[in-house]
Amino acid sequence: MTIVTDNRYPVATDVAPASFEAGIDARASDFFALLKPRVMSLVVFTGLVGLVLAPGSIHPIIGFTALLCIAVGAGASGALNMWYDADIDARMSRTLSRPIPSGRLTPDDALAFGLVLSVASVLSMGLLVNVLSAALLAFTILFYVVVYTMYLKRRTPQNIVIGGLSGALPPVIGWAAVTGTVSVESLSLCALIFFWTPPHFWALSLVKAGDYGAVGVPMMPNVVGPESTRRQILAYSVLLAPLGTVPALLGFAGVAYGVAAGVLGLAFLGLAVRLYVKRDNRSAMQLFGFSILYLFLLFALMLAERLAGLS
Amino acid sequence: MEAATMPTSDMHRRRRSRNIALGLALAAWVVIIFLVSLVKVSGQ
Repeated sequence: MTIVTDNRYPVATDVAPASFEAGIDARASDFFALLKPRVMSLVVFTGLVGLVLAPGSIHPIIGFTALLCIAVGAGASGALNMWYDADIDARMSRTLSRPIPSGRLTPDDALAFGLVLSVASVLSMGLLVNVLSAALLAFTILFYVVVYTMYLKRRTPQNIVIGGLSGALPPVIGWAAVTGTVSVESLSLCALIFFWTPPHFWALSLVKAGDYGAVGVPMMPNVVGPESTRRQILAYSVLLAPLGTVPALLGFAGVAYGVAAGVLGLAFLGLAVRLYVKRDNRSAMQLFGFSILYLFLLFALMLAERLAGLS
Repeated sequence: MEAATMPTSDMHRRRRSRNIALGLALAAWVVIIFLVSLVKVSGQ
């Protein structure tokens, strides 16, 4: 039996008493789970869209390498997040089965894995793609792990607002991989994800407020109450709806995208209004579900238009 | 003397699968560096 002396991990050992074999006994799939594959897939997708929409061209092998580095960097961030949050993960039903709280991996395994992948992804991006995209990737990883996970998450209800920047940067990295620059166009994609993040997460946290409250994470509904949270969701939705059409207004997305973004933005706003009026969990989950579809459709439309030569 | 044959435990199987995954990842990384090097050299 390992005696865990770090006070940040007592709960993990309470839930699943770790033997000295915890790390040795791990499967490759446990390490893969540390990468948060679902989050990684969204990051890769938005990074791909940034890469495809960017003016100019990139050799397919270098483009693939850039996406791989973005994926590995995102995965490394996920591993470091799970390392730091092992104590609260062990106390929430949604995260209880993750590799560390379930005892399949030790926190040290996750820390080493995350650090190695972070360094490897940034170095590879710098050496094989370009320096700016590597710098942006390093900033994204550091922002997610240090600013969001270690500082904001447990201190302020604005955690996911500010921390959302790290999730919004992949299209900027993809764009920079092609052009070596940061432009208004790529920043508009970043802004789209940035302003999408609060209504997306707060809709879920309205339903899961108890889970977050029990572990001391100050999500917005626990701090200012559900009424104020619904009002803020509505405010962000008002900003988000027109923001979705900006890629078409800037000319790097086509007319079809612009129309679709307008309609989808109004639908998003409609669901936010409905949540504000009806004040029930069902409306919150509908908005949460639609928000995922909304972001996916916007980026998929931009990608499809460009691949079809319509923008 | 009896031949020493150690049964493959679940732990050994897991360790082997981990080593194979690590080996494949490293091999893929080497291949990518090789290919990107070719692209960059041919581009100059």
